[in-house]
Amino acid sequence: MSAAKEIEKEFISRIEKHQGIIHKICFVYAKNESDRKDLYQEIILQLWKSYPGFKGNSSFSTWMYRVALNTAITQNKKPKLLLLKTEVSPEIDDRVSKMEASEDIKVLYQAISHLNKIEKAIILLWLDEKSYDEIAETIGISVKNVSVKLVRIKTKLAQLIQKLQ
Amino acid sequence: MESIDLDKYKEAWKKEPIFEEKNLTKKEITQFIRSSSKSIQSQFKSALILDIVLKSLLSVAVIYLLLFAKGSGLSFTLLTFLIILISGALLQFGTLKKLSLVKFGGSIIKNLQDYLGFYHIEYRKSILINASTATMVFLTGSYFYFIMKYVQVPDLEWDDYTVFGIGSLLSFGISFFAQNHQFRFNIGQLEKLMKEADEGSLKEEHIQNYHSNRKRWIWIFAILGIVGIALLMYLLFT
Repeated sequence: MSAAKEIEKEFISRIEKHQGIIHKICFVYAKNESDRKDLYQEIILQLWKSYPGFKGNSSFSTWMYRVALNTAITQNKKPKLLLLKTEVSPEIDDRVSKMEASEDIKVLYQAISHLNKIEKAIILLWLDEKSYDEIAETIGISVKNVSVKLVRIKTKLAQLIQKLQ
Repeated sequence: MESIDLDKYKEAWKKEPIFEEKNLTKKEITQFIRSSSKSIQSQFKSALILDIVLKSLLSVAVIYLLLFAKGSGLSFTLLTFLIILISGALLQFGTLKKLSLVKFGGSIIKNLQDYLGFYHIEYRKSILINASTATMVFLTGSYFYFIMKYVQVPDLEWDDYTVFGIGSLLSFGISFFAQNHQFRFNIGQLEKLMKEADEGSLKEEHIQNYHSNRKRWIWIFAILGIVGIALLMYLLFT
């Protein structure tokens, strides 16, 4: 087997093992099923393109989070001029009711959907038990700032959940 | 209230089976890595490649006219067209190379800063060069029309020049407007993200720097545009 094939095989098995990260990011950032599929594809493609740059300085999951979040965050909506009527996403409530997740996750999803893209990234990393150092490294802010932002986001999230219940 | 509630949701998040399911098979992952990207970066890359191809085809058409078309002062005008087209294609090629250096590996803020820097300088420059292709299509097409109809480029009257002038401006303007609309939208989204991330962590100077850079480039390109149009009018009228 050639070296390129070997690398591809190694990459695929790593993605298969850590695919939960992609599911979580798509769950938080995609607005509907079609968006979700597009985001899956885009994240995996960007991970593959960035894979030669992965030197193992951080864990694979941390690197994966960084690339996947960067992809999800910079995934732009189309300008209104270019948006077709059929592409308008359905209401959040409708999507949530069709979800197969538990009730707590549905409420959490609805609350998170009210956060901005950066807040979503921070809360996602916190929910996944990442340390403040890892969150700071992924976002590109100081550890002190992570703690300040997290307090603010958690308060906002708690208020949103309370309203939704 | 806050910690109790959120801890409960954090636990639910950790145990949620929909995140643990191995939905993506090896086959699907392989298909995804072979697919084409829909990112802004990839769309921009495709636009650059298309523009380089168009400019190359137009250059061939202009070389054909240089060799076979007849008309007073035609060689000078056509040579200028050729220089504009080749320099445009080379500049777009340079942007294409720089685009490949923008990577997703850094932190979110670093990535946003790189993107914003790139958009403010390279993308803005590129849409002006790209819009000039529409003008060159119009002008080269008109010259071909003359050759087909009159065998040579006839001596033109002042009203012909007016039509040429309006056609050139319109072809440039429409192409520029459409691309600039997309550009402003993308920049707006990135700046919004930067502000969201920036709050309390980075200095306001960053945003101000981008804005002052943007103003500087608007002036540079406005001057270049006016000089370009004046040069084009001079070439068409002499």
